[in-house]
Amino acid sequence: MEFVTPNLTNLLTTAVGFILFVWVLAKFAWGPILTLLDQRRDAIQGDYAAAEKNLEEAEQLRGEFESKLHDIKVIEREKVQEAVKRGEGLAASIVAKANEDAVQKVAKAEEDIELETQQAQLVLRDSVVAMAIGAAEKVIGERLDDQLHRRLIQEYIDSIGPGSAPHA
Amino acid sequence: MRDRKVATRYAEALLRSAKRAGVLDGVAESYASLREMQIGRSDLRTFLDSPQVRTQEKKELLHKVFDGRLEPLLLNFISLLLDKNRIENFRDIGEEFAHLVEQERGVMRARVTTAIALPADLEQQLQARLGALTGKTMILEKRVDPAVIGGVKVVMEDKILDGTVRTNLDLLRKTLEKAPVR
Repeated sequence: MEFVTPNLTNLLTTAVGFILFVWVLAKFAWGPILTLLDQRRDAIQGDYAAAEKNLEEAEQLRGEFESKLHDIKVIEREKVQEAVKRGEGLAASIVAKANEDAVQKVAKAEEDIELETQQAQLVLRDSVVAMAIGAAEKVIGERLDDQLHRRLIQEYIDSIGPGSAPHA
Repeated sequence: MRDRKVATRYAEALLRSAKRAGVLDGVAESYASLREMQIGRSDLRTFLDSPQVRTQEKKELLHKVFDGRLEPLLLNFISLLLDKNRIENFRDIGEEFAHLVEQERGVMRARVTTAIALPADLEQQLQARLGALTGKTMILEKRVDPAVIGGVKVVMEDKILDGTVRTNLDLLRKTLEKAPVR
């Protein structure tokens, strides 16, 4: 196997070429690249800060939203409770009114029944009286002969006296 | 127009005049016969009531017909009625006058209602009893009404003595109708 012996000229040429390349690069390309990198870094940092800020704002908004949501829930609960109370009050008054009406109706019905019962009893009594008097009239009329007529007239005459009046 | 107050006033005046002149019986008799005649003869009544015939003519005719037959006091009284335009009250005055004359003579009328004709013996008893009760001579105006069923009802002036079966039954009915139902 054959070893390669370094050629000094080549070495120096390559070295000089490399140095020149680095110098040219440093002289003309390095600055803009770094500037570009800095700009990029600044832009990224700006974006990051903006994102941070947005996040903060979003957090703040969320807090506000949650607070308002809480308030709304409280108000809703109060309203519901109020409506329930009002409903309960209304229901109680309706029940009370219905009870009162029912009591009045029952009292009225009892009164009507009592009155009708009394009227029916009066009608019945009057009918019985009319029937009894009618029957008595008929019996007396049939049984009254001349002799009894005379007796009645005689009794009437006998009852007349000072201060007496059979039916005045 | 029938007016009792007017009739009473004139009848009382006639009674006083007749008593003062001492011709009460004659006037009463004349008035009774004239009332009968006037009631019976509608032409006489029409003549006296007619506004077409002058008062003087009515008076003259009355005097021509009744002079010497009726008490002069009564004829003058009729003339007064014609003058005062009260001849239409002649009948009412006559009724009132007859009533006053009966009172004057101590006579009282009683309307007696029975279910059968009142037997004569009982009528006499009733008349005597009522006479004893009132202290007056009773004239009974009898009336038969089967609706009373039995017994007697006597009406005299403003007094009613009701002993009929009808009234007793009515009283019984009223008593029963007042009875409490419970």
